[in-house]
Amino acid sequence: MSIKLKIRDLNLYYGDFHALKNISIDIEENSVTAFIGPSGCGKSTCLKTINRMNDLIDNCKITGKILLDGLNVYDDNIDVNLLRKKAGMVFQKPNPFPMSIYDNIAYGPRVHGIKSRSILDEIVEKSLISSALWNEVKDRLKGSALGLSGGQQQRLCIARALAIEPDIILMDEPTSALDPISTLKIEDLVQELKKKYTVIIVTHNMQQAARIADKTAFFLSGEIIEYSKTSDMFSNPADKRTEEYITGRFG
Amino acid sequence: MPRKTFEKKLKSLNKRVITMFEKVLDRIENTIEATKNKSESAAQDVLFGDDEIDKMEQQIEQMCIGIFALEQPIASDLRVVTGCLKIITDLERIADQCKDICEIINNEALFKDDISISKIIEMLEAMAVMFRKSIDVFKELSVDNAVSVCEYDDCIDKLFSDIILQSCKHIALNPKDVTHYVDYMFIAKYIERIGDHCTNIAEWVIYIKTGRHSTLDEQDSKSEML
Repeated sequence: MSIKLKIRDLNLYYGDFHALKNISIDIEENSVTAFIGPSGCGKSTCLKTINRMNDLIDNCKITGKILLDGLNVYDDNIDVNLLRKKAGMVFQKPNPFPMSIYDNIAYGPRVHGIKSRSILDEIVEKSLISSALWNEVKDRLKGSALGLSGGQQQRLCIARALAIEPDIILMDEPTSALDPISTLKIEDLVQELKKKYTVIIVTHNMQQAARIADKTAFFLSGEIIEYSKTSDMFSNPADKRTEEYITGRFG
Repeated sequence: MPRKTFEKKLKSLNKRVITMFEKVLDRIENTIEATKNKSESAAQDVLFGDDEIDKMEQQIEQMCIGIFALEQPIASDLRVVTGCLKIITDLERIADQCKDICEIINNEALFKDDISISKIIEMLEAMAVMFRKSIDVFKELSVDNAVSVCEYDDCIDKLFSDIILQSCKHIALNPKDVTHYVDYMFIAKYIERIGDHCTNIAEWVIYIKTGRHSTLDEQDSKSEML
């Protein structure tokens, strides 16, 4: 497998607080990578550096490199809008726009200049099929997205991310606000998505990481303690701290 | 420390497996007693005590399944529960093989050949040493001692070959005694199998401690090659 994303010597400071310490990691293309670790360990922060979401935070200083397809996302000449088109994001709480299902998905492509109705129709259908939502909403595309269930709203958000044809999908605890059935649907969907995309998922649910991730990185106090094949990490972790965390003996 | 209930369950599992080891050791000692001193009562204890071992195996199995279902063990916890589940199967088989030996050893005619019976006793005692070592290996989770248990199996195999060769020679010279010598060979085979079970136990202990298992790793590398 080829390497889609390379993070090298990444350090991030929120003011005086050193939130990420010398992070170096290779993410393989068409794979699912899980970031796990206790609250405040830096896993979401690390995820957000990939599409420069931390740019919006005052006092945030970043050093090191993040190479997406060989290009450093922190280079001065990088267009952040294009970067975020390449690295789509799904958040913890489903956050559909207060508009129709159709318009939610067409929003991104429209921003990127697509105006043709037939092309937009095609994108909407394709994205909803890919996010396993099409059959449930095809007859009410003009209905409000806010009328969908939580699980459906989250799949809509995934469809919205897919509509701009990203290379990488960044998921920040995408199922933490969902019921178990919706969670399993999203997990199945992630398995499908990795055929076309590279997925990085932050999760607090260790069993979820075990079920869906090819590789898992364990974060603690801003460092990556262990990064290995998920099956190895969950049967025979190399580091005692990983063992303590995943077996629930932490703290 | 979090997961107190789970810790309690793991401790109780460990205790039960050690009790099963001790019960199986009783069967082995009674089998030796039945062979060495022609003790019918010792043989009867082994024959009629097998249900108790079967029941223990089932109870521990249920306990492991309960832990899998309710506690979702991972990492070293997963290895402990999986290892125990595998080890109790070997223990149950060892008790079965003691029973098989005791069924044959009741035959008075077998004791006419002092040399063959003393070889059998030598093999039984060597196997008992190996089994006691495997109990310690499980209690201490000692990888070094587990490796030496696996190596000890060579002694058992050597004694097995000796008995088979000797029995074949006797059959060639005295064809009328064929049934006795087939019995000797069966007994030797049962003891040899117990040696294999002790090796399995030691290999599972290595797995519990290190996450590496010789047979599993071999299969892994084969399937990766495919």
